[in-house]
Amino acid sequence: MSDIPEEFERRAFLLAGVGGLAFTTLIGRMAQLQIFENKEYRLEAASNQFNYSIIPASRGPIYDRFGIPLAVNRRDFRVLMATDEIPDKNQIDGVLNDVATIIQLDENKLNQAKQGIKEAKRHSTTQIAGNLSWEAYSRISLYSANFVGVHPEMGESRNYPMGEAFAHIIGYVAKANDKEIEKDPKAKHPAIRVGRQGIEKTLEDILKGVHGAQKSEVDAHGRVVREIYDPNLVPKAGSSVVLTIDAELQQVAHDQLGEESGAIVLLDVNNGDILALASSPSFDNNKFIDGISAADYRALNENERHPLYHKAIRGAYPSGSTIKPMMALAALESGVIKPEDHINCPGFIEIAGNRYHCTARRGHGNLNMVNAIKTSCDVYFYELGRRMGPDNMVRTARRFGLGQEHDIGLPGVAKGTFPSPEDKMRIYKKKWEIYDTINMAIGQGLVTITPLQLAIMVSRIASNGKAIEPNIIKSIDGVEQKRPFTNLPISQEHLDIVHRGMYGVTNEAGGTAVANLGIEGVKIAGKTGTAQVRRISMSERASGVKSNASLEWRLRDHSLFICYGPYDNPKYACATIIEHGGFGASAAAPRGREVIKAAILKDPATLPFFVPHNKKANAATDDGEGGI
Amino acid sequence: MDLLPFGSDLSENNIFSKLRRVEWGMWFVLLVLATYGTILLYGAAGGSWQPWALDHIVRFFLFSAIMFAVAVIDIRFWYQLAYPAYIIVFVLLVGVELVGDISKGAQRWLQLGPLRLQPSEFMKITAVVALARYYQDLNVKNIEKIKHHIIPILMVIAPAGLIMKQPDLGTGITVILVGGVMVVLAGISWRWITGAIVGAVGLFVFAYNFLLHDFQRKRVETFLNPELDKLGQGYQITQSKIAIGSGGFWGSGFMHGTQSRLDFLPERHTDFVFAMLLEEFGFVGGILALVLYAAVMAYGIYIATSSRNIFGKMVAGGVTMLLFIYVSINAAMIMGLMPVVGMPMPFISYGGSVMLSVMFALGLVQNAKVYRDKIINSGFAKK
Repeated sequence: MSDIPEEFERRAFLLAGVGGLAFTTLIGRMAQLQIFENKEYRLEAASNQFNYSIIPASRGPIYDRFGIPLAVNRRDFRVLMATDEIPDKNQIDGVLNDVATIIQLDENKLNQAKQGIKEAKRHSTTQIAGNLSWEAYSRISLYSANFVGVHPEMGESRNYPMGEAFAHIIGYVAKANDKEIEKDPKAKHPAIRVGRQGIEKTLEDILKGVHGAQKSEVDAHGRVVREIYDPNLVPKAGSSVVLTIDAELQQVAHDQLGEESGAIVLLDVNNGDILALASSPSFDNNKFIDGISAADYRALNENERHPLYHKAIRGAYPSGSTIKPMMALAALESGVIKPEDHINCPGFIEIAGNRYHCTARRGHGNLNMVNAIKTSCDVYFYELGRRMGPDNMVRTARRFGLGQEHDIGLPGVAKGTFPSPEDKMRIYKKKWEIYDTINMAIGQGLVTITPLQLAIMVSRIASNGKAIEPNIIKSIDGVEQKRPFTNLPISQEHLDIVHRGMYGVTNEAGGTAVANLGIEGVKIAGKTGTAQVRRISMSERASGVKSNASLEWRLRDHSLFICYGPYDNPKYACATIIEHGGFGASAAAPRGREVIKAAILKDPATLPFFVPHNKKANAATDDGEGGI
Repeated sequence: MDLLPFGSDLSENNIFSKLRRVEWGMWFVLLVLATYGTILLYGAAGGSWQPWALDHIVRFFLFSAIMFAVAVIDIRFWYQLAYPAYIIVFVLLVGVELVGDISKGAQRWLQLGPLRLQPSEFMKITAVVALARYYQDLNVKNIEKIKHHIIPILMVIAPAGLIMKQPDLGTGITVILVGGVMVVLAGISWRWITGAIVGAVGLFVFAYNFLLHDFQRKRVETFLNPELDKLGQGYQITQSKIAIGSGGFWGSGFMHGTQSRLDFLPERHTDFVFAMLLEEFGFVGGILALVLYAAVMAYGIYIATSSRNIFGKMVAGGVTMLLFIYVSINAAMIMGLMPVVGMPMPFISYGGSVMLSVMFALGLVQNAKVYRDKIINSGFAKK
């Protein structure tokens, strides 16, 4: 018994040592968590503690030059579902059914909502229904406390009051896609829309503002303990944008186009403001905001007149005879002809063994330049082309904006084609031939232009060489977007000749589009064009060219018309293209004339611009008087 | 060290002289710990004495009285009670196995008339006392020999097996570790100790693969990789680590622990109270708590080594080990060093029965101090 206590003592101290080692380990672990890994755990604690609910920024409004709203935000009552908050996913359908009863959602939309929620990503909020009536919203607000994960919300939704007339210009917004959400995670909020087309797309960064968030402290059960104000998280409203467009004239142009497939562009020749930029047929861009139905989209996409296509800036057409005034200038500038030099038109011309026909089968006889423009004599311009060659034509065409890209602030502006011999070799790998020169001289063959380019060309002629660069954006947040331009080095004398020719077209006997404008003392000058879409074979020419009326729609000629006015003091220029409209004077000219007439009567260039009151202030949630 | 008059031995048998011999320093440390716990529980309730803090401190004083009562009762009474108590509790354990109530998936409770008992809690103490008596009675020269230890080992394994079958892994392991340490203290040879450790590891591997219940195995798995199951089994460990880690060196301050306050920390007033302590009082507050526990254990070791009878030595050693297991397993668990096993932090965690059993056990340690010079005449076994 005597040695037991000693051994006991030894072992007790040994065990105490083991215990001390264990405590040291515990302290080491404490140090690891609390000192060395403290930073990471603090972050994790914060992500436990705080929750951020996104507050979409108010998207910037878009106005016409006089303040008519083109894209606005409408108050929208909606109800959202945060599936994360619902512990038992099997309850979701039941909750949706109850919500549908409360807000009187029809079967169809309910199924759509169910589908949407099924397909929604984790940790996302999905819209059950939007555009609720005030009554439905009140009811769901009252009952939502009974449903976990159901959140009534009062927000804004985009709306386009002018719809079709502006669909191509304004474009539309749609829900953010995965890539955009990756860039700005806040964009996952179901009410946030991203610009997809038109101004909404090009000015997305300016219009969207900065989305904010409500920071709140939550407990482990997801209940909000308190809300925290963080000035960095206050949403900033997007900038307001004023366009150069005059909504009234745009409407006139849109109405003039009617059901035809075509485009009308109206410019202010003195500063390049785009007053109207209509494409037809159009579509209702409001349908895209909440996602267009597949059937509606298919109908638009498969329509042979391509309503989704912004023809005014994207459509490239043969210019036809509308190019002749510019060709006349090119010839005068290159010195191959004098204005009073006469060329005889027997109805055709033979160059390098090929016969090129004039529209007048029996010929125009002897013509000077003014008359050649007025009567649109092809033979006269074949001869000009032959004399000056492609390089002179291309040089002048570039000065008038053809074959060039014009950044007017809209996506998808086409460049058209006006190739030099080098360009042809580079693009088509083919040598330049004499018939290329001849065709180019009358705006056929390799030449394609957009309605916008056509308007720029006529505008630069009308303004005696002001090389205006049009832009559709007048001001952003009230700050005017200046667009300086230079003057073209073109002789005034030569310009006057062309002006006289174009005056003849619309005012003198023998002109191709003579008509009275109907405004006392005001005349316009113009030029028609008929662009051939199909090849006319030798046999057809022998037996008589078929009339447009006898042809299928898509084989008929394009009808073009350019004009400017008033003749004495040019202010506005207009280009009109009616696809497959037949003869230029019949389809395009009357429409273009109506548009420029409206412009001259209203004279928007003399009226003051709309300046939006500066909304740059942090208009967070502009609840106004309608608040709850 | 004490105030016993020369030669007085046990002649001074009145209650005051016995109370004088109680280790008051140890009780004072316990008071500090209980106060620490009271402060935490006051904070856990959002700055209120209800429902935990007041209960906690009142219980401490109430159970202190019981502790002192246990301390002054003649050590021979506890010696005599050792086997009968052990047998009764063992029978109750068997009873649990046969007719026990199932609560939370485990069969732990026994309803005896109006009493609802958890015999496994009692077994921790009765096993200690019974083993102490066995070694007191043993009185042999060659104590290293294995044959002397077979009976105590069976006395530990049998109830531990029943407890683990309930299944209550934590308590079962506690009984085995406490019993094992007592066998080691009694003087079993080092060869057998080494063998037992190797065997235990082997058994663990075997048990993990063939004996453990699915939920126990899952606990081990999620302990090894809590990220696997962030919202299920691993949730508690993950949240506990976040609370502890975010506290940092100085802590986030009393009642400013966001994870505890916002309910992210589970069971913050019971098993995970130490995590709340570490969040609010930081590394510094944690060290303080561990130092206090170490002080209590140091008193336990001091009493064990200074007792002159085997029974007192063994009781003090076993109870000290019991306390060590509570503290280290709880701390290791909340810091993610061990699977979650439902083990409270004595004197800080809220809960009456655990505090009662621990203070009763420490009463026995005090008893060993009060009667440290008492010679116990073993009534049985002269081998």
